[in-house]
This record gives sequence, C-alpha cells and structure tokens, in this order.
Amino acid sequence: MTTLRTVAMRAAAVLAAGAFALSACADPDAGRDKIFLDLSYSGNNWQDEAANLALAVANSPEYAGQYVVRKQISGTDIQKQISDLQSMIAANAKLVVLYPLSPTALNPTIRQGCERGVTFIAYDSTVREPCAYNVAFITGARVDDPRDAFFGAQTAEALAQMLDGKGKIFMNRGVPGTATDQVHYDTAKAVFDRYPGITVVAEYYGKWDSAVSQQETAKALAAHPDVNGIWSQDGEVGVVKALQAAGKKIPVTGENGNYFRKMLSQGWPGISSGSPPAQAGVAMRIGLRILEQGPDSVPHNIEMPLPWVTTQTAKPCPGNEFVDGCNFFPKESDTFVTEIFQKDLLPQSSLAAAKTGQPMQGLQPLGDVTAFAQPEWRRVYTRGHCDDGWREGDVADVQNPTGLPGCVEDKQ
Amino acid sequence: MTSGISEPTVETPRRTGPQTAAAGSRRDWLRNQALIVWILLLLCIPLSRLASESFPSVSLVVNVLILGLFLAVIAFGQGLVVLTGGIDLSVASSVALGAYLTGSLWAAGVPAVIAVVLAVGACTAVGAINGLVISRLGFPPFIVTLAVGTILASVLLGVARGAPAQRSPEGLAALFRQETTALGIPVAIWLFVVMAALGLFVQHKTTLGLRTYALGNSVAAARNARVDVARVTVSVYGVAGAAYGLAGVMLLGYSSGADLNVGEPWLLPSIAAVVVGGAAIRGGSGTYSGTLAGVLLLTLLGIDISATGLAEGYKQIVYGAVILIALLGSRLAGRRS
Repeated sequence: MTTLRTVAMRAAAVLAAGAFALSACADPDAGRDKIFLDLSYSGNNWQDEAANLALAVANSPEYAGQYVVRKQISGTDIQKQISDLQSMIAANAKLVVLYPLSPTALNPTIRQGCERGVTFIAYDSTVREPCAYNVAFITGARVDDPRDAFFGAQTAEALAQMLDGKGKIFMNRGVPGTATDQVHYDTAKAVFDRYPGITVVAEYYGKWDSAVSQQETAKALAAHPDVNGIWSQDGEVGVVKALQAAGKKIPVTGENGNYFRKMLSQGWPGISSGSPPAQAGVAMRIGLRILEQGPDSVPHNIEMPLPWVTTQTAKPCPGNEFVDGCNFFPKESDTFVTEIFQKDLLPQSSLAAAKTGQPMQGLQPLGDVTAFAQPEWRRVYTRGHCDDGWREGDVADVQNPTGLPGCVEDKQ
Repeated sequence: MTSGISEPTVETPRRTGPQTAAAGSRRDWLRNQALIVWILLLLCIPLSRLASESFPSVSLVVNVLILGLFLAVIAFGQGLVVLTGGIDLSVASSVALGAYLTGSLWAAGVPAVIAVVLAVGACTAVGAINGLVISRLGFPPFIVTLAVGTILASVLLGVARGAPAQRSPEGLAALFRQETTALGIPVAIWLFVVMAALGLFVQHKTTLGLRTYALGNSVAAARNARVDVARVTVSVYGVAGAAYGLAGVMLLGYSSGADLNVGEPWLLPSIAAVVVGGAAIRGGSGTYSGTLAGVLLLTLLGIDISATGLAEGYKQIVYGAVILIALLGSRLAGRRS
C-alpha cells in the first residue's frame, strides 16, 4: 500500500513537472495571428464540407505559417455560440468566420469584438450587426442571370412553369423559426400566390434533413397521392426517395444533394439550386483579404450566386474535380452537397478539400469582388433595415420576380 | 400477450406501504390501459377522414406501419428501461452508431450481414456500459445515459470527420422499398410484425423481461428475491442498446443512407409512445402491447395532422393535446376498473 502511494505521488509529481515545463515552453503560436472557424451543429454533410473548405483555404500554402487556425463547434445553442465567441475575443482572435445561429442574438458580442479589432465574417446565414461581413446566398441571384434573385422565388417560379401554372404542390420547409427558412418560404409563397391554378395542399418541416424530409413527404403523400409537384429546401434527396417509394415521378425543386442531381441527370424533372457549402471557403478568403488589405477592401454584404442545375444540365463528374461543366459526384454519398466549387470565388476547390480539409493548392489572390456585392434593394432581408437613403417598399424593374418587398431609393 | 405481465409483481415480495395497496388492482388497470389505447387507435383510423378526404385508405395503414416500425423498435428499448424506473437519453447517439457503423463497415468491404451484426453488437456494448455505470456507481439513469450519449456522439463526430453520411448496403435499402413485397405485403410491414412479436416475447416471456418488472417495482425486493440487480440492469440497457442499433440499421436502409443526426428525432417520441401506451414513468408497470398501440397512435396522428395542412405551430399544439387526451383517457379507464 505504501509503495503504491509513493509511486502514485511520484507519478503525480512527474506529471505536474511536465505540465509546468510545457506551459513554460515558448508558445509555438507566438507571433502568428489567430483565426477561428465557428460552426453550428455538425454531423451532416453540409456543415462538415463547409468547415473543411474554410480550413482548406486557411491552411493553403499561400498562407501557411502566417496564421493559427482553430475550429469550434457551437451546436444549435445560441448561448453556447455567444460564449464561444466571447472566448475567441478574449483569446485575441484576429478573424472569426462563423455560421451564425441567430441574425440578432449575437449582435452585442460581435460589436464588442469589432471594438477590440476582431473581424467577423458570417456565412450562409447572416447577422444584422453592421460591423460584421455577410457572405450569404439567401438573397442571391442566379448564376446565369443576376436579375433573377432569391432561392425561394426562383425555384417557385421554375416549379410553376414546369406545372404550366396549375396543380397541387407540397412545400418542404427548413428548420422552423430560422430567418433563412422564412426568407425562402416568403419569397416562394409570393410567387405561388400569383398563380391561381396552384394550390399548396401540404406544408411541412423537413428541417434541412434528408431522413426527416423523406418521412414527412411520405406522410403527406399518404394524404395527397394526387400531388403534382414538390417545392423543397435542403432535404430534397429524401423528397425524391419518398416519391420513388410511392412510385411517382413529378417535378421537384430542391437544393444541391448528390442523389438529387444524379436523378436529374437521369431525366427526373426538376431544378437543383440553393445553399452552397463553398460559401464557407469564400468567407474565409474574404476574411483573409481583410486581414491583408484592410476592412474597406471588400463590400460588407456579399451575395453568393445561386447555383442553377436543371434536368438538362445535370452532369456527373468523372473524377474528383469539376471539369467540363460537370456538377455532381456519382461515387459520393447521396446526401453529399455538390456545390463545393464556385467558378469565380473558389475555383481551386476540390473534392479532397471538401471531404478532408486538404489545403487548396495554387490559390490565386481573390480578384475584385464588388461584382458580388448585394444590391441595396435586397438589404432589408439580411440586415433588418434599409441603408441610409433607402426605405422599405416593393421592388420593381431591377429584379425578377418584380414586386417583392425590399428597399427602394428615397427620392426626397 | 398479457399473460406474463402480472406474475412478477405477484412473485416478488413487495415493500410494505402504499404500493401494496395499489398493487392488487394494478393487474386489471394495466390490461385496460393498453386496451384503451388500442381502442383509441382503432377509432382514430376512420376518424382520419376528418383530416383528409382520401383517408382512411390502404396507403394510410401501410404508411403507419412502415413509419411506425422505427419507433416500435426504439420504444421497445426505451420501454424496458422505463420499466426499471430509468429513462434512456442515449437513444439518438446509439441509433446513429448503428447506422454509421453498418454503413462504414460495409463501405470498407465487410459483408452487409456481418456489418449489421457488428453494429448492433457495438450498440449493445454501449447500452451495457450505461447499465454498468448505473448499477455499479448508483448514479441516476438519465444523467448517465445523457453522459454516455454525449460522449458517443462526440466520438462519432470525431471519427466521421468529413464524411458523416454513410451509404446503405444495397440489399438493406431494397428491403425497405415498398415494391419489395412478400405475399403481396411490403417487407417492411413483415418486419414490423416480426419485431412486435419479438418485443412481446422478450418483455413478457423471458426471464430478463420478468426480472425487469421485479426491478422496477422494488430494487430492494428484487434483491431479496435473489435477483442479481446489477446483471439485470446491464442486460436491460444492453438489450435496449441493441434495439436502438437495430433501428439505426433500419433507418439507414429506409433512407438508403444516413448521417449522424439520424437518431435525433426519435428520443422524445420514444418516451411519449411508452407513456401513452400506459407504462408508469416511475417503472414497474407497462406492457409492450400498450407501447405498440402508443407507437401506432402517435404515427397515425403524425400523418393525420400532416394531412390537415395546419401551420406547424398548430400541428404541434394538436399533437401535444392528443397525447394529453390519450393519457387522460387511459387514466380514467384505470380508475373505473
């Protein structure tokens, strides 16, 4: 017993000495600026791909050795994200790239960070605090026509066209209560309301999750086997699987799931658009640009162009790169989100970068990004109010569809 | 299916006090409570007409059984744990482990059947760890299972880095397609029947099932009756873990793929189904037959409410209200007898 205790005490002493020695050692991170990547819930492909792409940019040879990059998972708890951000500010972060859980709740923390010299870049979802930068697709316009804005409105319009303006449809929404779901839904509903022949017979929340969407769609199909089309947010892979189980092949509009694109390429009628994980990589590039060239080198509000893949344009990639206009990876899992690449903002992306965070090679300096600035008339959706000199009103002429709420120039 | 229910409470010596007084009527009370939920379920099928003009229909029943399969398997595990007086919060992680391991082992070249066996085995082990910590250290089950579940979820997240989604083995996915039938009935429905029979057998006919009731009624009494409390606890949580893992495997097949969040929507419904089915949340009473009725009732309600086209907020209110009505109904039925 005594020997045991002595041994234990000695071991403890050695451990303590070791710990002391470690802490006394020169900090290997000294002199390097700290970058934090703060993500939401993880465990699905979208979040992991986005995080990997951001890390693949920050760890690329172009920046190697200049920064210390850390990743933090904040889950779905806003309080946890606030305390995580506070820890990052306390740790003298230079740059925080984050997936914001709320457009408003983080504002005081972000403002406090800005005052201490931290740059914040929000991706996918947005924050209203003016000192933070937003890189988001929510209000974005189609990559093939910058006048055609809003994922919700564009996919709704496309679905209505495919149905010749009449028929019964389902709407598969996202996570209830999120700003992103609301913008998608409102703009889509505004379009459907213009088609008197279109009836929304079922609305449900697939929670941006393929399995949940599949079950919810199966339930709705049991009640409405005569449905003519389905408008979906992320989760469209489950929607298509539920339709296949019921033996129905009807138009579906959805986001960028690998299986959905595969079905499109085999003739399924539909449109694949929506949130690209590439946003996180772009957000990291924007952040690094600000660290190097100052806060005014990029616009505060950046819109990711909306991907737009149709039954005609869906095309499998033969290998691991985006070549010859291919846009999905047949060998990857069904729910892999294909939009890991953006021809202007993230052209060096690769499948390996998205899956493992392998540093991107040959990252060219980011060119002029002013072309991707969000137009003032869509500001109210992401910042909660219009810019100075603008007031809220229905937007005509400058975007399709016309007449959606937004900001108009104050002529007085 | 009810024959095995009452024996353990009779055989085991009980603590003196109020429990003894209540126990005499408990047998009938239980039987009726499960029966009431079944009656409620049968009533609700024609009442589905109120939700949609195309109800009731064959497709409604088929969907209730197929979508109810996953909850029936998960609620079996949760039901056993609740019987012992515990509650299992590691459901989501264990379901995810079952799905993830099956998918990743199969992707690594392991034959599908062996992958399924290994995955369910791993989930059994996780459940057994729950049981070990609970019985050896005496911590409350909900906090132990919460801790083990959280650790497991984090390990999965770390291991799955960059590839959280798994594909399903082709044969497994084919099992769950509605066009895969045996004797004209989808295989998934046969699975439901097999799982229900297995659940009824394990809970009401095996020594483990009977000892679970004994444990839930009184640990001290069970100990006096020479029941190895620790071993039963470990077995109960192990079997529950196996059930969650199996549900994970099934969900992987149903969606022909799964990510790590696959188990999350099932935790609360699993507890709700057990309680609506008439089990006492403090343990010691409840039948798997009641749980099955609870599962089917909740699933049917989910479909009906979805068919009404109500806004999501109202749907949740209706769902909650109906659960309360089911509880009240079975309580009243219990009083009358």
